[in-house]
Amino acid sequence: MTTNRRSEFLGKLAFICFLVMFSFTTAAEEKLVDHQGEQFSVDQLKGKVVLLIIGFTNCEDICPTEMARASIALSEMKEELRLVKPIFLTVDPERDSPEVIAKYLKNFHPSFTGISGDSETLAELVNHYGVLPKREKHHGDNQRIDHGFSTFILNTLGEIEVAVLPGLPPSHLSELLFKMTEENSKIRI
Amino acid sequence: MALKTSSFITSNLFLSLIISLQVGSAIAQRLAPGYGDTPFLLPDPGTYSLPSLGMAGDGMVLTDSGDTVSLHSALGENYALLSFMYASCADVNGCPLTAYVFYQLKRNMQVDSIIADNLKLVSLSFDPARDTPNVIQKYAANFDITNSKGSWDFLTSSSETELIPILEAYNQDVQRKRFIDGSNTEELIHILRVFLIDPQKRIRNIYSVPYLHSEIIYRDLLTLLKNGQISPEKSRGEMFLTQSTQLGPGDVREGYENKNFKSQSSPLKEKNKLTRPPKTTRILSNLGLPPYKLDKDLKLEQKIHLGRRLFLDRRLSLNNTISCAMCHIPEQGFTNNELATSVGIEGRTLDRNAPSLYNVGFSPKLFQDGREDSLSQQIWSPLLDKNEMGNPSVGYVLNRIRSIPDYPPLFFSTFGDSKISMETVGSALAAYQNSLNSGNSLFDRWYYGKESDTFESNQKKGFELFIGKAGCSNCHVLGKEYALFSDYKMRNTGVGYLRSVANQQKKQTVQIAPGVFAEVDHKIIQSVSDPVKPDLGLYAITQNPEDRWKFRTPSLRNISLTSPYMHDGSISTLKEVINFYNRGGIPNPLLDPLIQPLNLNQQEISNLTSFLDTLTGSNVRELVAEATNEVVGDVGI
Ligand code: HEC
Ligand code: HEC
Repeated sequence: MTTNRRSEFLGKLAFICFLVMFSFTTAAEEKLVDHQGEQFSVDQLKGKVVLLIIGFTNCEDICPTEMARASIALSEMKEELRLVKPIFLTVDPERDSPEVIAKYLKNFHPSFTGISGDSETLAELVNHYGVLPKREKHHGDNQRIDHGFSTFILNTLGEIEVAVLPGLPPSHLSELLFKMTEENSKIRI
Repeated sequence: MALKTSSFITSNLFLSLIISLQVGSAIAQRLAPGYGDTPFLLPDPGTYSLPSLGMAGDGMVLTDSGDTVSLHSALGENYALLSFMYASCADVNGCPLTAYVFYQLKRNMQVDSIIADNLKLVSLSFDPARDTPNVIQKYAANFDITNSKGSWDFLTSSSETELIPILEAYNQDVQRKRFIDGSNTEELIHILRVFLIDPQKRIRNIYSVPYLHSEIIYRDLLTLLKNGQISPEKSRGEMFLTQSTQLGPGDVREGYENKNFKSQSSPLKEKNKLTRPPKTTRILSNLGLPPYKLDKDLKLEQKIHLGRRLFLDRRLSLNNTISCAMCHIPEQGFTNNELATSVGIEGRTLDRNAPSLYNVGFSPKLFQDGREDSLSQQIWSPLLDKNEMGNPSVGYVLNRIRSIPDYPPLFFSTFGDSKISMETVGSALAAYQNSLNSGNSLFDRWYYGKESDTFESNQKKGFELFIGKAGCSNCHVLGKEYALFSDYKMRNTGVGYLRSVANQQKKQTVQIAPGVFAEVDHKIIQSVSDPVKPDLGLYAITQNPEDRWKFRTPSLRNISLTSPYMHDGSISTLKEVINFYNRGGIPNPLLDPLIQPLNLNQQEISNLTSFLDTLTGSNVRELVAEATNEVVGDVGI
């Protein structure tokens, strides 16, 4: 698979996987590791507003842009940052070992946790839910990369609340995160 | 009357981050003007007109709550701005640009009730499989808790079958890129277009990448809202439309010639006197050129003919003075032999030499910095550039063409029911430019045609040098079957560098390799009189410092007809060009390693020049005659 095809495939896979993974219903979480090599459990996200970015470290165009946008947004936030959990989820676990991700994350806001897992788990998840990635049309090597959509905000219940379109500026992202932490703390009271 | 742009340091920082992250990656490209300040001085709202460009297409769509409605009803009862989107598009100047510009408008809806009350933003997904109503709801949720005033609706469709007719109605077909022989590549391109639609569901403006800017859209909205409140004389567009009937013949040279420059090229009026019917068969001379597979296009001849008329017609410029052919002059090698850099509307000087258009259809990259790649898209750049043809909008150009009585019948016979639109105008002009193929030169007949008696020994020697000692063919490449004499790569020969340092000092020491220094002398450009603006070439597009002063290697076909040479027209004869290479170009820190001093003697220089003179195609006379014999209506008609 060429990088482009691969990224398209992975992107689509990602979209489906995270829908599944963050629904707190699967056993897959046992096979997730964070960028420090520790086992990662989605329980750690409960009660937080999650800023979820799906990508892979080798992705050259939209992923770094999305990571940069998120990093700027996070750096604009104050104490409400502690209610936010930024996650970078790789869809290329073969190449993105915890060490690789840790190195990659050094370029971005320090609050990010990177998550990897084994590719079989990802594939299994897809199969388990009977959803197959959409077959790509016959693209060649040079096609514009069609990534999976990569930035989402999840509420404290782990549900996707917003899909943040590429192109919306960082200030929008920080505003959204801020509003969501406000609303969620209201709910808890 | 300016729209408030939400500009904070961080978003600028964000943009520079995008730029720096892109550096070095294959997709590095210039950010569209929509991300920054307005690209040019904009006319005041209400001082121009935005004529209808036709009815907006309709079809059935799904809302984010899953209801099936017609697109027209989803656009609402007011003005609407419609875009088509892929949420996963990776091209910064594609869907993210649209989202950025829409966001600027949405922000302003929070504080400006004129926009909030009169304009609705609508984005329709290209991808019904992924963008189900549930998913687009998550896009819409961006504005549930922040910036919630005004509306930005997201729509999708139930299937591709529902979607395709809508895309077709808006000419939003996904196209394939082509190889130079005309066959399809696998690469898909979708052309970014955003539509401003009025309450009667007529399209009033279409924005493409260079014009998609919140301020432009805002002014267009105000203009439409003001319509009817001002007298028609005040409308800039209409002013020119009425004036044109009083202007007389279409060869007014006002603003084209100036005190330093009088043209030798014959005015249109004289050309029209010689009028003969245009030739019906074009002479194709293909020997030495790549195979050119045109689509089976029964209307090709008509398209070429129509394109040629448009190419020659000055009424396509704002004040009826400038046609494409006034900078790409047919009888001057489809460039301008008299000017180093082009002069556009009202005498405004451009930074670059007009490239010859011979064989331009084979060029995978257009412009000397390679920034465009489609002939049918490229035309809007000169048509709308305020320094070139100066038109205020696409709609203005289209309306102008519609208002000229000769065109509607010609478009009808060529394109049938398809209207006079961006696509048909682009297609005709592209067909004409694609027909300017010119091979079968003396060289081709010898080298590819194996005719031995025609090529003289000094020309052969010149060719040996070209592919040997002088190393020219490293960049101006030849193939086994054909030669375009270009690798179409972006290269630094030092011409651009020289321009940048020309105004600084007479001599300068530069490091050309670690520890290797050279002194640069500026004598060579003393012939260039005016102080010149530096031109950084590819750098302007990629912002990558390594790309400074890189320009596209040009084809050398018909080279003896297309002086002056180089992107800035700074060298006037072929001999001087060879001298330039003989000295090793202009040393600079980023000089292409293939450029080295050559140690050619005078005899060798002369042989090389004789060889370059053999590259003139056998059909240039016919191509010029076709153009000069074309009947082009006068402005007064
Ligand atoms: C005011 C002079 C002027 C006018 C009018 C003009 N052009 Fe050009 N054209 C130029 C210059 C200068 C360039 C090179 C610009 C660059 O490289 O950035 C150019 C570049 C081009 C190119 C790219 C050629 C190549 O080798 O990359 C094409 C094609 C072209 N013009 C076609 C047209 C058409 C069609 C029209 C009419 C709709 C037109 N031009 C009107 C001056 C002009
Ligand atoms: C490193 C690649 C390279 C090599 C080697 C090279 N050229 Fe060029 N040539 C270029 C580029 C790039 C330009 C355009 C420069 C510009 O526009 O500033 C150019 C421009 C020209 C032009 C002007 C074309 C025009 O339409 O303006 C001529 C003529 C030319 N080269 C001839 C030669 C000859 C003869 C040789 C061998 C002595 C040669 N070139 C070697 C890259 C090269």
